[in-house]
This record gives sequence, structure tokens and C-alpha cells, in this order.
Amino acid sequence: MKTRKITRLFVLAVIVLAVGWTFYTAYFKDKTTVQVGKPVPDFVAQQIGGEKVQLSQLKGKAVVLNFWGTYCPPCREEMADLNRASKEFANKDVVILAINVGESEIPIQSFARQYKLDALPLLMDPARAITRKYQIGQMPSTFFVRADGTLYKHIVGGPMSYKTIQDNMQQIVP
Amino acid sequence: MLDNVKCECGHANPVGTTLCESCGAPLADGTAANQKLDMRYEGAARRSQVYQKTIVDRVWNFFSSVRNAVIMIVLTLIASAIGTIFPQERYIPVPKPAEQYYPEAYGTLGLIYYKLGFHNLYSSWWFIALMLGIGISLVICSLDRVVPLYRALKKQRVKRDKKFLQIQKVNAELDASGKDAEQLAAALEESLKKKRYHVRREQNALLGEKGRFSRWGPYINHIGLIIFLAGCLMRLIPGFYLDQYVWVREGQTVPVPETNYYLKSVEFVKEYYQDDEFPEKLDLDGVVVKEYKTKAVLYENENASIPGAEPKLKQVAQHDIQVNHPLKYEGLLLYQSGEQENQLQALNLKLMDTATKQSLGSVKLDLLSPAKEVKASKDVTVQVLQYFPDFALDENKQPITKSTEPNNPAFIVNTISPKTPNGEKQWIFLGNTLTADGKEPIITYAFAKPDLVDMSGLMVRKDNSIPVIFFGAAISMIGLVMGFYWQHRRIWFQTEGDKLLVAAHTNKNWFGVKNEVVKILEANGYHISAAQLEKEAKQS
Amino acid sequence: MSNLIGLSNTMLTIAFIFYCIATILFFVAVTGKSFRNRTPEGHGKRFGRIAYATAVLGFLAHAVFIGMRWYIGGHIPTSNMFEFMQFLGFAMTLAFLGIYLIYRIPLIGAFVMPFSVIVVAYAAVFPREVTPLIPALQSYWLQIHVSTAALGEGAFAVGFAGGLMYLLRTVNLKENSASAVWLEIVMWVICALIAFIVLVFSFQLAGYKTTFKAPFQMSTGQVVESQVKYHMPAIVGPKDGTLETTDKMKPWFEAPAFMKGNQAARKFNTLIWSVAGGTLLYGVARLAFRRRISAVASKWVQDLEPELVDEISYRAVAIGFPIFTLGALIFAMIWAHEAWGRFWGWDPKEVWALITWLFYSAYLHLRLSRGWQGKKSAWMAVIGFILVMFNLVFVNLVISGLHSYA
Repeated sequence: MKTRKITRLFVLAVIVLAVGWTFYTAYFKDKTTVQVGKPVPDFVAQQIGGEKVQLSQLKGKAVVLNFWGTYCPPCREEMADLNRASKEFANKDVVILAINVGESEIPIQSFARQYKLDALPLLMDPARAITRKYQIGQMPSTFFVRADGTLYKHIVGGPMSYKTIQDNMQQIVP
Repeated sequence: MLDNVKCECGHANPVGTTLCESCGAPLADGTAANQKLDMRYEGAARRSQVYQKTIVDRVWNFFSSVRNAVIMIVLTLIASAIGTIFPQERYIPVPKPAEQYYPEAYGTLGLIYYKLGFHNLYSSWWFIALMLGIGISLVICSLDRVVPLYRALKKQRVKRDKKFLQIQKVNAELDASGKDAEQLAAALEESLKKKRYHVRREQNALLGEKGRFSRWGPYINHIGLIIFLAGCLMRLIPGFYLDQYVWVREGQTVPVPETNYYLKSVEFVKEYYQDDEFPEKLDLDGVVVKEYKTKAVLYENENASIPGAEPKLKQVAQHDIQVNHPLKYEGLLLYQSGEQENQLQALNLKLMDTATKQSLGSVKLDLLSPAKEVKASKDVTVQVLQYFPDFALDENKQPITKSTEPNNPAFIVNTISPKTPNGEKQWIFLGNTLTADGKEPIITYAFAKPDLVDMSGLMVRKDNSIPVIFFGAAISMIGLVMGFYWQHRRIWFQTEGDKLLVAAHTNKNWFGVKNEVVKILEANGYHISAAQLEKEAKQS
Repeated sequence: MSNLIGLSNTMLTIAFIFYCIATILFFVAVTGKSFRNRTPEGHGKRFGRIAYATAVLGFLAHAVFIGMRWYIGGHIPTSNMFEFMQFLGFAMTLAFLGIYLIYRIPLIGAFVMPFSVIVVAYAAVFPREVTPLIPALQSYWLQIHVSTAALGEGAFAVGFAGGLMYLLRTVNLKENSASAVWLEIVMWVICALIAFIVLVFSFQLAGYKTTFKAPFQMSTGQVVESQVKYHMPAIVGPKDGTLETTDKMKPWFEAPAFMKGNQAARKFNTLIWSVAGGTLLYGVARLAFRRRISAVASKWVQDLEPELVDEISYRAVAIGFPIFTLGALIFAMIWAHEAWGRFWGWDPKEVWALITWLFYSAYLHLRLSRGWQGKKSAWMAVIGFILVMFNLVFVNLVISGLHSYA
């Protein structure tokens, strides 16, 4: 009699665990690679008019990663503000990296000329390798990363107001 | 707590048993003489019928009930049908978002369909819950039944109580006066063996049995289905399942998403049937495709740890990918899925001196990654100042690009030549040009045939659970075949005094077993028809 | 080559004729008992044997047709609606021939062979030319998946016939019970099917054609004007369409907007004709017999032992179920994995195959575990096969998609 009870309990427990795990993994588990508080993935990218930049070598500085494209209207709108913020935080150890998604050099360069982006480093990701790693969907997509490499905040969409940019950059100043 | 039920023969049966485990006699509180005999589990006690006390028992009983299982099957059936009323979201034929498509195409009904989530029915939580319910039921139904059945069949004795034989569906009482019981038994044993029955004998009682293995068929089938469903669930294990898509142009090498592989399309080939390849003259509206394939090369990136780093590619596989013949490499599968032919790859432009009509050379402007400067001839250089792959004007009439796809390419070029030492700026669109002031340019660009390439759409797949899924399906098939193409037949012969008692039981195909009994009896001098054997229909 | 094609088509025609003759002979074996001066049993046996032999001859001719066409086309003839339907008729005949050998009851023939005839006739309304295989079908799985599925469905057809026979035998038609009404509805559905085939056949023979031009939205979102050809007079026309062949009948009304696709209106038209024709045929039969059709048919089956018919019906399903599982589900999944990268995509055809499978599974469970024998079981066998036909006709023609090759 006791064995009957134990057997049943065991079988049902196994089933409950399996079902629970299924539902959890299918519907609730967070599958993003970039999460607040966790380190963001490293990458290397070619800078327009410069050399290659590797994220991990900027350790000690806070970084703002802004994924954008010239084909994305809200991205275009916030570029000037990002450029301005770049200047403001230049000696506060906070760097903005504007990572272009999927375009070739010419459109990016002429865009930089047209919008007078003299202080904003523009990085290229023509094959979208970095974009995919960061699971970018909607653009612009901005990651505010602390000096230790962990994510402080992720803002999707835009354009961000200058105040938003400024406040968040202030939060990550090392 | 457990009361055992004692049989006349002295054996103590667990509660709930309807036929004595030892002699087969119907038990007092089990089958009454006029109640229908239930031989499905040899009269053994099924736990779920007996214990109903605790919550564990109640949950168990819910899932062990065939009635509930059938209800779940029917609900799944109806739900699946609902999902075919309107196309599911992934099969929407036009590039519109779901919330727009359903009300537009199907009106109010479409809106209701969308709001209820039916456009994604098969991945909704309640549908998955239904299937999990069926899965749980498969496990518990089987456990609940197979254990008592196995025990009962293993333990069954040859000699049975008279009452057991008399209540069987197929039975007869024949006159055996004057016959030697032992001889009769031996003769009957021979006849049974001739019909490939396995015969056990206890004194002068015979039990001929064949096809017992087919009783396990349904349970093996259920195990197969459980493995199958478990395989489907395994997809949720990270790394087990990959479902991606890549577009690759001829000559292009693209990364395969979520992997460290790169894929190159060497060529996309599409062939049509020639008229002489048809066996008959056909009145077709179009042409019939004979084959289409992507000649592909797969590379592995050895430098894959940091995204954005220069890939170091090593070729690992090469294959002509076509429908029914995917590229397979170490668990990665690439399927020929879509195609877009004749995509713009580069513009070919001829330069000409407008005044003298003298040719000044030609340039190729690549539409994916244009160079900043191209030489048309020895002293003519074309500088590419601006490039819009998908040209449009925004609300302020400013030129922008809508995407990175070269759907509507536009360039601003600066032509440096002896006649234009400081350069001449021009817009180059698809098919025409425009100068800054609208006047005739000094250097004219004429359009030659652009470079066109075919683009292949390949589905990227990794599915480690496939072996498990198909293994489960195979087991399920074996169980079905076992259970449906063989039957478990048993024939009892027992002499009681001067009577020969005959009884038979099968789990399916009574027609066949009756005929066998008739033939065996005929071989031993008894003439009885099949109809006479089955008395149940006439009685009660 | 064209001689071979002509010869093969002749073989199919021969097979069809033999099936028809076999059907008639089976009916004679069953009904002619009273006005012969032999014993009813002897008469039944004699004509039963003749009818069976005729069916076998038809089957052999049919097999020759399949073999020849296989050779001519270079592929098993199961690649489009015509080919599949005739193969289904072949499978149904095969299933019947097999099961007859076990039970030797001519009456089964009287119910299954007519359906073989109907199905082969239905096949003939589709384009019959030998076409080469499109790339998606260039696989050895075409042989395996389609033919096994057809075989399973053939067995289900025998189960359907047995179920129908059981109901006609046991439902009390004098009462106006739900069973009696539904049985008559099934008779009407069969009339509609016969009417559909006769109508499509006749209009095709007469060469009736009418064309419309109507706007349709393509998958890219573009709206194009395309031509729609009708092979029957247009009762319903495509939405916003203009009749091009002005000497033909004008449509009475236009298809509603929710009917998508440029063939939707034509199919709707065919449906209207079938329903109307079926009702007409049913009405005529009802008037001629002055009774319900099921009452007429039930007289033929009065000599049957209900339990035996019940068992035949069940046995047919039990034999067919593993075959159907193997062909329509397992082989289908393996092929889908090889061809499209996913073994199951929930497309309408796959879903309806699953629904059929689940339904027959419920049938078996209810019968074996819940004791649903007799009438309940018979109704389920009838409904199950209707589901199979629904999958073949409706899903293939109406709900178009990746999987429909008609």
C-alpha cells in the first residue's frame, strides 16, 4: 500500500517537474544575451576615419553603445544630441560609440559630414555581426554600460531627448 | 485498510478484483452472475478503480481515465480544425502585420479570430497544455493498466473454475461421455499445436494460447508516443534547436546566424523542362520548373569569439542545395527555400564627352559596397560622394535611404576629367541622371546592362531532437503493428465428469477465433457451428 | 510514346468499366435473390464470385495502367489530383478485395465498389496529361508517402462502407430519430458527390468554357488583373470581375469579399452546382422511390448479421489505422524534414491529416476501452471517412497553400 502511494507520488512529481520546466522555458525564461547587471558582449569594429576599436579595451571608461542607421528617421534625429553629449562628457571618462548597422562607408561618411558629427566616433557593422549578437530589433537601440563592463540601462526607440542622454550618461560616470 | 477478497478456492485477492487471480471464478463482490464479464485486464484490480482517497489518487485517476483522454483528444481535434479556418500568422500571403490583415481580409470574423489569438493557435499556452495533458494521460493510463495486466497474464493458471469458463463470451458444453479424458486431452492438444497454439496442460485441462505479445502493442505504442512528445519538448533545451533564414547572393559570402559558419553561394541554377522532355504535348499556361539549386560552400569561422573581428574562414563543406537535398554538416542543415532572381548587383555606366561624343571609358558602381573612387580611363576618375541604396525623399524633401537593400539606388558622383578638373557633380539614378543646376552635363553617363545576380533564400536548421522524435515514432509504429495485426487468443479445454467444457477468448477478431474453435472441434469429432458457440447474443 | 499514353488511358477506361460492371453484379448478387429460381444463398454465392472476379480483372487493368503511366512519366502516378484520386480508387479496390477474402460477403462489394467508381470518375475531371515532376516532388518519398497514405485511406473506405451498412441495417427508419435524419443526410451528401462528378464531367465533355477578368491582390501586395477560367456556367462570378466571353451565361451574383485568391469564386461556383445538383438528384430519387433513400437501401441489408458487419467495419479500420499512421503521418514527417526543414508545420493539410488520425484514434479508444460498439462505432466510421474526403477535396482545393498540388 505504501509502495503504491510512493510510486504514484514519484511519477506525478516527475511529470509536474517536466511540465513546469517546459512552460518555464517556453514562456517565461528570459533569453536575451544582454541583461541589466550582466557584462555586455565584447566586439571589435572599424571606426570611420580611424582604427579598429575593441570594447574590452575601453575598460575603466563608461561606454554608451548606440545602434543606428541613416535609413532610420529617429536615429537621424538624435545624432546631433549624441554628438553634443560626446563633447560634454569628453573628459569625464564616458565614451559614446555610434555603431552603424549594415551600411557601407560612403553613406556613413556623407551623413557625418552633413550632420557635422565631429566628436562622435562612428563604427561600422556592415555584416551585422555585432547587431545580431546584441539582438537588436527596433532602432535606435542604446546601451548604457558602466566602467566595469556591466549594463546599466537599455533604451529602445527614440529619438532620445538631450536630457535623457545626459542623465543616463551622468549615472554611469565612473 | 486493505480488505482482501477471498475466493472459494482459498486464494486471497486484492480488493477490486473481479475474477479470482488463481482459479478465475467470478468473485462475490466483483462480477455478479448476470453482470457483463470484463476480461480486458483478466479481472485484475486496477488501482485507479480502487483507491480514491487522497489528492494524489484523484489526480492519478483523472489522468488514467480513457474517457478523459478521449475528451482531450477530441478537444485537440476541434482546436486544430479551428486553426485552419483562416491562415495562421506565418502563412499570411501578403506582407501585412497580423492585426491589420485579419480584419481587412475577413471582416468581423477575422477580427474575432485575431483577438482570440487563433492566428497563433498551435503555439498558444492552452493548446500546448492540451497536448501535455494527452502526454500525461499516455503515461498514467499505460502504467495503470499494463502492470496488473502483465501480472495477471503471467500468473494465469491452466485449470480454471467451471464458472469462469461458463461466463466466457465463446463457450460450449459438449458431451464427452464414453471418451477417455486423457486421450481426448492429448488429441485436442495436438489439434491446438497444429494451429500454432502454445499449449499448457494441467492434468486434463488444456490452455492453448497464442499472440500474447500483441497485448503489449498498445502500451508500446504509447511509450513511442511519449518518446515522440518528449523529443518535441527537447527543442527547448538550449542549443538543441535552431530556426533561422539567410538570403545570399551569387558570389556573396554571408554569416549563418547564431552559428560560427559562413555560407557562400557560388551560383543559383534554375532549369525548366524543355518541350521534348514532356511525354505528352501539354497545354500549359507557363513553364514547369525542372530543378533549382544553390551551389553552396560552407565555411567555418575560426575567429568567431568576438563579433566584428575579421573572419578567418576554412571551407568545411560543399553541396548543391536543392529541395529534398539539404546541405548537412555536423548537425547543421541548410534547405533551399526561396529565390529572388535578377537582383541588381552593380550599375555599369559608360562615360561620354557630351560635346564631342567621344567615349571616356566606363565604370562599375557596386550597389552593396561602392568604392569611393573608380577610374573610368587613364585620366578620368569618378568619385562617389554619396550613395542611397533605397532612395526616397523625406517630409522635408531631403534625400534619404529607406533601407540598406539596393531597391532604388541613387549616387552623387563627381567626375574628374581633363574638361572638368575641379569635378562635375551629378545625380545618378536607376536609368537617368541629373545635374545640380539641371543643365546639360559636360560628361554624360549612359546606362549599360547592370550586373544582375540571383539571390537564394536558405532555411537554417539545427534540430538535435529529430533522432529522438523519429525513434519515438518508430516505436509507436511497432506497437501499432503488434497490437492490430495480431490477436491474443486463448482456448480452454476442460473435462468435468462426462462433459467437455470449451471456452475461448480474444481481444479482437472473434470471427477468427470462433472459426478456429469450430475447426479444432471438428477435427476431434464434434460438429458445432460458430453461431452456437457464441451464446451471449441470444441470452440475457 | 503517344501510343503508350493512349494505351494506358484505355487500360484505365477498361478498369473503370469493369468496376462499374462489378458494382452492378454485386447489386444483383444482393437484390436479385427473390426472382431467381435458385436458392438465395446459391444465387448470392454465384453472383458474388462472378462480381469478385470482375472486380479483380478491373483491378489488374488498373494496375497495368499505373505501371504504364509510371514508365511513361518516369515517376509513380501520385503527383497531382488526377493521379492521386485514381490511385485512391485503386487502393480502395485493393482494400476491398483483401477484406472480401476474409469475410466473403458480397454485400460489402455492393457498398465499396460504387465508391471506387465514384472516386475514379472524380479523378477523371482533373487534367489528365502526364506531367513531369516539379522539384519539390522529385524524391523517392513520393512513392512511399502518398501510396501508403492512400492504402490506409482505402481501408478506411471499407470501414465506412461497413459502418454505413450497419446503420442502414439497424437504424429504425420508421421513427423520426436523430439517427434516421442524419442517415438520410449522408444519403444526400452522397447524391451531392455523384451530382458534382456527373456535372463536372458533362460540362468538360461539352467543352464549356467561360472566362472572366478580375483584380486580385498578390503576395507582394500588388493588385493585378488576372484571368479566371470557368468550366461550368457561372452562377457566382469573381468579385469586381468582367465577363470576357459575352455569349456565355452571366453570373447571378458576385463572390463575397472574404473569399481570397483568384480561384475562390470558381470553386464556390462548383460548390453551388454540386449542392444544387445533389439536391435535385436527391429529390428525383425521393420522388421515384416515394420513400427515403435510406429506406430503400436498408432493404438490401436486412439479411446481414449486424454484429458481423460491425466487426468488418472495425476490422477494416484496425487494419487501416497503422498503415495510415505510417503513410500519412510518419512518412510525411520524414519527407517534410528532408524537403522543407521542418517535420511539422501546422499547414492545413498536415493539420487535417492529424485531425483524421486523432479522430480514428478516438474511435479505437472508445470502441476498445469504453465498449462503444454497434451504432456509435458505425457513425464514427462513417464520419471518419467523410473527414478523409474532406481533407482530399476541400483542403486541397479550397484552402491552398504549400501542400496543395491540385
